[in-house]
This record gives sequence, structure tokens and C-alpha cells, in this order.
Amino acid sequence: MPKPIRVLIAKVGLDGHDRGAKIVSRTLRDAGFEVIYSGLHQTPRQIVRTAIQEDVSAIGISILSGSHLEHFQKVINEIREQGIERVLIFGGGVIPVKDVETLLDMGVQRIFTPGSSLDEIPIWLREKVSKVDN
Amino acid sequence: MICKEDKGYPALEILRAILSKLTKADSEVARGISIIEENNFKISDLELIAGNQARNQAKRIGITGAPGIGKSTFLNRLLLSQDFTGYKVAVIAIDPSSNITKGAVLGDRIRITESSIFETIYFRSMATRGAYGGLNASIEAVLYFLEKCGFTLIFVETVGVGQNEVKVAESVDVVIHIIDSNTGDDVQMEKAGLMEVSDIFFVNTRDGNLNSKFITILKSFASNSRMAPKVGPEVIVGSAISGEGFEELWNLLHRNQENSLQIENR
Repeated sequence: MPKPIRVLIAKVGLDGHDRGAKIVSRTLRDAGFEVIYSGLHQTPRQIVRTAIQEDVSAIGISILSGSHLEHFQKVINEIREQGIERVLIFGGGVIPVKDVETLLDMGVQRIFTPGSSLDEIPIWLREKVSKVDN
Repeated sequence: MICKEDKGYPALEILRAILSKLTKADSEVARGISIIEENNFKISDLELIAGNQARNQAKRIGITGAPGIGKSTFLNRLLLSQDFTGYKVAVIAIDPSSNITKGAVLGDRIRITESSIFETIYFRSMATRGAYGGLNASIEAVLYFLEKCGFTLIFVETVGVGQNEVKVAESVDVVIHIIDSNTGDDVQMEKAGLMEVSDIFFVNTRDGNLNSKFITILKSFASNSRMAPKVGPEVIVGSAISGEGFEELWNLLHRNQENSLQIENR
């Protein structure tokens, strides 16, 4: 039995909608991940500090507020500043297709937009994490 | 997770390297805990590599109680209600692993309302990973490791428990049992298990609901208890949300034992 992969699911900024984050958390739990759910209204700095203290392999950020470009950039800057580039970052929420390319260029590994299959997330994440770890 | 840089090095060697450092960054403490957990290391394994470096005997405070009773909210209030200058504080918060998938949702961090808390303490969520009793199978080794890393005050929050999860009493100095004022009659208190090993009962008056008859029964039980484990048992009625009862609680913790906490009330 492989050891569970630890992943942080976070909400950033002024965004009170966490139904999606909770559903993704439970989906990952059901796929055998250990999910740290850090709750609403986290700052980029808090998210990265949590990722460090919890020793996670990946950070998943759910954003429905429309400020995804700004917030992902801040989280990525903080990740670089703290020197934890090995931690994968992915995201989801109400993010227009036209912004997805920009986010991927920024360093986000994957964006799951509305309509994505829930089954896809753990499969993708497990494969991605095992590549980084080896 | 084990980093790429760690590949090829035996886990114990990585831990030895972390422990040999004078000050440990949060990332190193975090990695150390993961290594202990993934390799099922015991205290005896750590003793082999820890050398003669000093180990602080940290003050360990356990927080236990039923699911949703307010343990994490209580912990948040506890952290806010004192000035911990001079202490190096860690929190281990445990939530259950699935028996079916081995997965877990660890949600104890969400009650920490003040972001500044995370700047000054180390907070780690752990899953039970198959352990029964309210804790995690690696807890003893993890607490030992934290002490070796210089932590002097450690809070351990158990999973939501029932009557039979008493492991926390073996791992900490003081067990604080968060309890609702509708938790049954006097016969419940005659039963063995968690009631026996609780040092402090904190009756959390959620939503202002308080069953005074229960408080009377609980206080009578506490004063008649011949177990007298470490402090008490004592009964405090308060609220993790409003902060009521926390001054009394800290006075009690200060009074407790000769190695009492030297913490100033905030």
C-alpha cells in the first residue's frame, strides 16, 4: 500500500464559495489522498506557509471571484520566495478559457474549469506527483 | 513528502541531518515528521541518531472531545488568549483516515482565525492512518522529534472521540476534555474510559445552551473522583467563542505541577 499523498486545498482572497473546494477535497479523500483543507479567505502567504508546515506535494486553489490571475501570480511568487518549487500548483473554479493559457504560462500545472470530470483530478494529480517524486 | 534531494539517502540519515542543525526551519520539521510517519519510526530509532543533543521536556497539553464539540475552536481561543513569548509552540491536530480508501480530509486549521498565529507556531495536521485510540500511530515519535527540535509547548488535538479513546492520556501531561452540557446522566460518569483520564472538563456552552443539571452532576463527579490523575479533575464552564472561562483555565494550567507554565495572561 503506497503512503497517502498529501495535498492542500485552499481558497484565496475574498471568495466565500467553497462548495467546489469541499467536493474536490472529498473526491481526493475518496481516492486515498490526505487532504488538508485550510478554509476560506486565505492570503497567498498563509497558503504557502501552510503548504510548508503540512509538507504537502501539491496545492490546489479554488477561485470563483474572478481575481484568479492576480492571486495565482501572488501564490507562485510566494512559492518561489520560499524555495518550495517542488510543490505542484493546480487550480479550478470559474476561470474563463482565455485565461487558462496565461495561468499555465505562469507556472500553474493545470486548471480544472467547470464541466471537468471529478474522476480526472485524482488520476492526473497522482501521476503528476509520482513524476516529481521520481 | 520526501524531496528529490533526499533520494538515495536512508531516511534515518536525513533525520540525523535535520536534528544536527542548530535551528530547524519549518520545512525541515515538516519533512522530519513525514519521514517518521512514512517509515513508522519509533522513539528508539530516533534515539539512535539523535546523539547527545539536548531534548526539551516540552509541556504537552491534550485536547479531546466529541466530533464538532469545538476542539479546534477551543484551541484557537487558547492560542489567542495567551502571550507565548519565551515558548516555542507546536500543534499536532489529528483527524481520521478512511478505513476504506486510506484517504482523509484534515480540517482543523480552518478554526484558526488569526493568521499571525501561523507566523509564530508550527501547526501540523495528521491523519490517524489506521491507529485507534484517538491519535496517530507515530504520535510518540513525532512528539519526541518536536522536543528534539526545540519545541517547549505542544498542543495535541485528538480526533473526535467517544468513550473509549484514551490514548491521549499516555502522550500528554494534561488532558482537557471539551464536553457539551447535554452529555447524559450520572451513570455516564461512572463508566470507565475517557471520563477517567480527563484532567480538566471544559463545558463548552455553544449557542448559549447550558444544561445546569448536567454541570451539577459533572462537578459532583469531579469532586468525588478518587482517580485524581494529574490535576483535578476540574470543571470549567466557558465558551470557546466568547473566551469565557479561559482565564480560569490558564490559572489552573499554571497551578498544575511543579513544572508549571510561566506564561503571562494576555
